[in-house]
Amino acid sequence: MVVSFSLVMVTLIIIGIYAILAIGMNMHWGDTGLLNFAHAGFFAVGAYTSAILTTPVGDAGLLASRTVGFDFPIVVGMIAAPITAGLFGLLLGITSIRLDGDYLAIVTLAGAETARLIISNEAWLTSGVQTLNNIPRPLDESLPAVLPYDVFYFGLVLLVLLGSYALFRHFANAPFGRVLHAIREDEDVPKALGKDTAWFKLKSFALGAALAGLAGSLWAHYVYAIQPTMFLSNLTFSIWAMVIIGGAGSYFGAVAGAVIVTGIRQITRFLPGDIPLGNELPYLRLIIIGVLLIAVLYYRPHGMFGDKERSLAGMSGGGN
Amino acid sequence: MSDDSPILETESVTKKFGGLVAVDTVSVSIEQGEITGLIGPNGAGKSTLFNLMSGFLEPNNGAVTLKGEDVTELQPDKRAERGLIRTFQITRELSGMTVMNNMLLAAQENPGERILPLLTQPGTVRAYEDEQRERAEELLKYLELWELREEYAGNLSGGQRKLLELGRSLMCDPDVLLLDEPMAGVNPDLTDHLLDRITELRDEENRTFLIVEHDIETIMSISDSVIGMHNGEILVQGEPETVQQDEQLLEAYLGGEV
Repeated sequence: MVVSFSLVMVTLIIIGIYAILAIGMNMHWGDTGLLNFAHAGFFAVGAYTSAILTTPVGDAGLLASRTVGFDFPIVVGMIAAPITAGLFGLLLGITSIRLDGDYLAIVTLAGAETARLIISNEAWLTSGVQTLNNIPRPLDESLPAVLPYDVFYFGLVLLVLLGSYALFRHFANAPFGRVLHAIREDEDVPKALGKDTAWFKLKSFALGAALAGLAGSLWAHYVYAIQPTMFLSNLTFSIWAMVIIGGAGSYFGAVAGAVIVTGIRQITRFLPGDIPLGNELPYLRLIIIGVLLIAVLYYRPHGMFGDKERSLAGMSGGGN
Repeated sequence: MSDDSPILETESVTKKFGGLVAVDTVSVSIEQGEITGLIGPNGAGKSTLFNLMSGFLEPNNGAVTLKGEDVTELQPDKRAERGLIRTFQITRELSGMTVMNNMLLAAQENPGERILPLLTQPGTVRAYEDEQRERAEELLKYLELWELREEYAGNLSGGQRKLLELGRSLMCDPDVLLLDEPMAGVNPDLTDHLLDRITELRDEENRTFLIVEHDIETIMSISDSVIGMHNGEILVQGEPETVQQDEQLLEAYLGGEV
């Protein structure tokens, strides 16, 4: 079998973008214990922000015409995307962050769907259900011929990935992260010690959402064209699978989870027919991910790279 | 030594849970620089009163005053910032965090808990953290938990958890400490040690304590004032000797009708 070079690069870029999403989710769930089901929404807000800011008006479609567009440089879009996604996260958080567990999950899921429906319906702004296309690629056609575009773009994604990995790990290991961990364990305790826990949860929510927005921008400027169906909530569930398989609370685990889950999804998609089960595997990939998820939860409830000792502390022995 | 006005006061606070009146128009004043004992049989409303004072419950009626300021509407964290720290009856150690991190969490006004200083002033953040680490070291050594500093708090024994909670509260440098059964499960040697520490903090630093404790002998021996509660009401408040002889309270403890 011949594995094409470009296919590998595409897969790597997608893995990188998903890994950035998983890092944001790990701050929500792994560090703070927030059940966020709005990640696809933050991703979408980032992607659309960046696309609208960097494309011109007049993207006439069959059903409706987009009347808003700014044609700004790409860097403006990439800066604005995390800001609007973070603000969306903040807005969603203000209305719901005092809710516990499942209730927060329901509200965030609804919030992401609301965002997607707004994107689908407000065609003057987003091109609606039609595709918002001709999104510019950074440095397109100005790269030296020896450097394939996908290699350059993977470098860009990798840079953002490493940067956000370092930044979020720094937050998690700092006193700030210590308060988030305390909230995850038992919110009453930091509250009794003078921490404004609602505010900390909002910050965590906004930071993770902003990072998802940045990932959305990277996505939009890579794929040329975006449409609302790219941001269905099953994307959110995939990110959850990555964080859980990798090990909630571990940023390395989040990245590893993204590599594993995205790897399975992409590799099975392009398998040639001449290897065993080559024709069947593509249809089985969600089942494979599901089985993997169950196996991990059964044999390693703390995930592949999660802290086993931590998750077991207090489970056996001790007082009470 | 103490100021004229009480440092912590409740004014006719009432808390109902459905048809049950857990705390019934209770007015108490806690004087600064004193140790006040709060006693009463199970279900007397002691923990509910703690929750009302610390802001974990909002009263149906009445007001809570801290340092002369009405704090009835304030969340627990805002009261903690004003110097009121409480512990929990059933220990709430953060089991998945180390003993040291449990302690450091309690440091107040930590610049490293804010995003901007974390990025722009790493030196300040580090210096503050080191300073707090030293304070934590001193407290942990005193509480005989120093050897366990890197252990997850969930792996400590019941008594050790009580000590950790006390240490964590002291890290906040509180003016008023509400301790809910701080001695339960702690070995007797260490209990004496703890009581010494508490009286020392009162005498030398003018700190105020309100302590719920079932060990009557202990509470009588260290308290400047004792409050006896039963069925959500204050039966008696006064000096330990007076309270000890209160017949109503004795009857309540012995299970008689009042």
